[in-house]
Amino acid sequence: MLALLQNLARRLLGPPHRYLRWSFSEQHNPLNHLGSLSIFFCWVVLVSGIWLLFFFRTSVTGAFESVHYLATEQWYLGGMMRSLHRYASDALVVTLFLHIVKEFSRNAYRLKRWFSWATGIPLIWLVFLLGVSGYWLVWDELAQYVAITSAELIDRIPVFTDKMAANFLRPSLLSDRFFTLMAFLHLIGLPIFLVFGIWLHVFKLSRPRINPTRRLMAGTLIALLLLAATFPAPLQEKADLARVPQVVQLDWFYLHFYPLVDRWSPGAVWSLLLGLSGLLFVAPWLPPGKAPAVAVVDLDNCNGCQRCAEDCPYDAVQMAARSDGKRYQQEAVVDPELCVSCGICVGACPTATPFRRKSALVPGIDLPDLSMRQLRETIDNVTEIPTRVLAFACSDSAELRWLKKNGKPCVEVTCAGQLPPPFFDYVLSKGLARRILVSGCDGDCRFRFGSRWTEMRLRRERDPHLRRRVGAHRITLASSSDSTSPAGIASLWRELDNAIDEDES
Amino acid sequence: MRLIGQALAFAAFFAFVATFSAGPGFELLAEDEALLSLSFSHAAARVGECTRLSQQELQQLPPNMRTPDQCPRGRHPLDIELRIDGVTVYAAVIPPSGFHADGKATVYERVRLGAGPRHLQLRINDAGGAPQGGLIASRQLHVQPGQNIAVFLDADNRRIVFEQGEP
Ligand code: HEM
Ligand code: SF4
Ligand code: SF4
Repeated sequence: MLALLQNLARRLLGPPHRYLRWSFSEQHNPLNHLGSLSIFFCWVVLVSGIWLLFFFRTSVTGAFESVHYLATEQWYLGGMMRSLHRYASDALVVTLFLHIVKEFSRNAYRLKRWFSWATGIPLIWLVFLLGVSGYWLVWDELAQYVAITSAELIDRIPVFTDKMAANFLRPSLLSDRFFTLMAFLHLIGLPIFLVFGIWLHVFKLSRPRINPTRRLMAGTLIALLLLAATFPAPLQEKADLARVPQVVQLDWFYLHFYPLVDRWSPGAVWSLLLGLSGLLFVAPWLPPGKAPAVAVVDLDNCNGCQRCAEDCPYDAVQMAARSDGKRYQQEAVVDPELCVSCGICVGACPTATPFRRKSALVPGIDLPDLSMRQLRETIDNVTEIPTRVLAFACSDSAELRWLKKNGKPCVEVTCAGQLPPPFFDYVLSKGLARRILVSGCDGDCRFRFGSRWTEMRLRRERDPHLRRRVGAHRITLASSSDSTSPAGIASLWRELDNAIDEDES
Repeated sequence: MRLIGQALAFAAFFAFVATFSAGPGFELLAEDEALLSLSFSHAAARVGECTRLSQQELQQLPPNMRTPDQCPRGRHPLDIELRIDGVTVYAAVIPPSGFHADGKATVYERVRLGAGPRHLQLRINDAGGAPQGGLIASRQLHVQPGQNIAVFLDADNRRIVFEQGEP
């Protein structure tokens, strides 16, 4: 069931991902920057919001007039800012939704990775509360609808005995204090919680990607500006409590569930919202599973070089004072609560080299479930060896399924980043294969840094380096694990095979 | 070529954003409808009369509770019925709020009604059906489409108000 849903999510993201990879390149692919794009939209909302704040008046009569002034008389600046504010917050809902789908599709929320997921859920509520309170402030016909319907929802909470909605049914009952309250929530209260919430959301991750690439930010900003200039955000008629608008133009990104309050009942809508949030909350353990064994440090082989701690995407390795009396200052210590068993630390360890005697092949840090020694045995035993092309494939990759189905020689790893460069050296210099295909996830590794670190290590930009004599051109990093079509991987395989003949001629 | 691809991607994304940012419209009322909002809070009559305790009875109470007048705190529920053109569209018996059932009862109901001449009648009883709690008012209105007609009890003056918004 879970696998089915995740597969569905991947299939949905697959075609757009391939298109965007073609047009943007994997590095700038927006689908690889959904979290950071969401933050970027928050920035746009913040900056444009500050401009609006200068002109906004928090009173029954002043609110609409001040917005109207911005939209009409100051259209060139205030109107632009208003449109940016509106469209960036809408775009935020879209990237937020895709962000959730993507993290879901690649299992980045399960078991030990529950923290980012669980702290994401209050962010959804905050974003929606911000949206709703924002629409309330404008005090046009939409705001009137939002105010009444929101009040009906609030009135359903058993704590309040007075009906808040009653205040919006007669002009004489309306007072400025609602605007003061909403303005406080929208301008100060909720944004503070949002900033704190985002910080909490990423704080356990090592090097969280807060900003998209510069090019992506520039492109997004230009597109937003163009949209704001061509289609200024509409403003509806001024609210009038003596009337009921026949039709309201809803912002469906924020208000899609509002019609349900009318069609069902406030109680039913609360059940839906709370039910969905609850389901999201328990999702990391649905169904409960057993986490794979965590990375283990072998002190005899650890020289305290810190590379594993540097490379771990989950900050699961800490350096501690040496405990075994060796002359090194530090040693690596794995926090089993944080370690997700990706193996990226193994790929970073200078002692993980298959050139060592088989009996001694115990690196400073290793995955018990798929150790360096096991990996070397697998290579030594690949039946087709020596082979023309040998593939190393991340166990989650689409390529792996294709390779297995088509009987190509391949070795399964937890993550491309699990392979230290000496491994490729070993395969090539021992003549076990002439070319190597490494298949992980290019731009957006499911373990965050696997492909990035591998690429840098091969380019000799990050320790441990691939030795010069190996010839980096003989190692090819395949594309993303969740979006490669069978046809794509087949043609890549043929390309590599042909390249061997070219190497020789 | 790829730049055009990028532009297309941005265009598609923001076209989607703009499309659903303000619309399609959601119909709150049909063309020829108005809305009647029945909404007010009211503290109904107390359930019983206060009784004066005798000196003896007072002595039996703990010292901090020795008030000579003992009043039952509870209130009656609010019995309410709204009719439009003789048809009951809303009828309810609303209990008082509060832990001791001594607070206000709150009515909140919105009813769609067709435009045109309408005869509205609101009946309230706030004393458990006793005649002194009965209030009734009717009004012949010419309802305009899109109007919000507020109907409520002005408790201070014990009268029912029909407030018809400007069309
Ligand atoms: C305003 C809303 C949100 C923002 C700005 C945001 C931003 C981010 C950022 C910047 C990252 C780090 C990406 C990286 O460096 O790899 C991230 C990761 C993540 N987010 Fe969000 N996020 C938001 C909401 C959510 C929601 C609602 C969920 C799910 C319910 C969620 C689930 C996750 C998960 C599972 C990860 C990945 C952690 C991992 O790789 O183990 N996020 N988010
Ligand atoms: S990379 Fe290896 S040697 Fe370096 S600190 Fe980590 S376990 Fe020890
Ligand atoms: S296996 Fe992955 S998560 Fe665990 S310590 Fe190594 S790099 Fe960190």
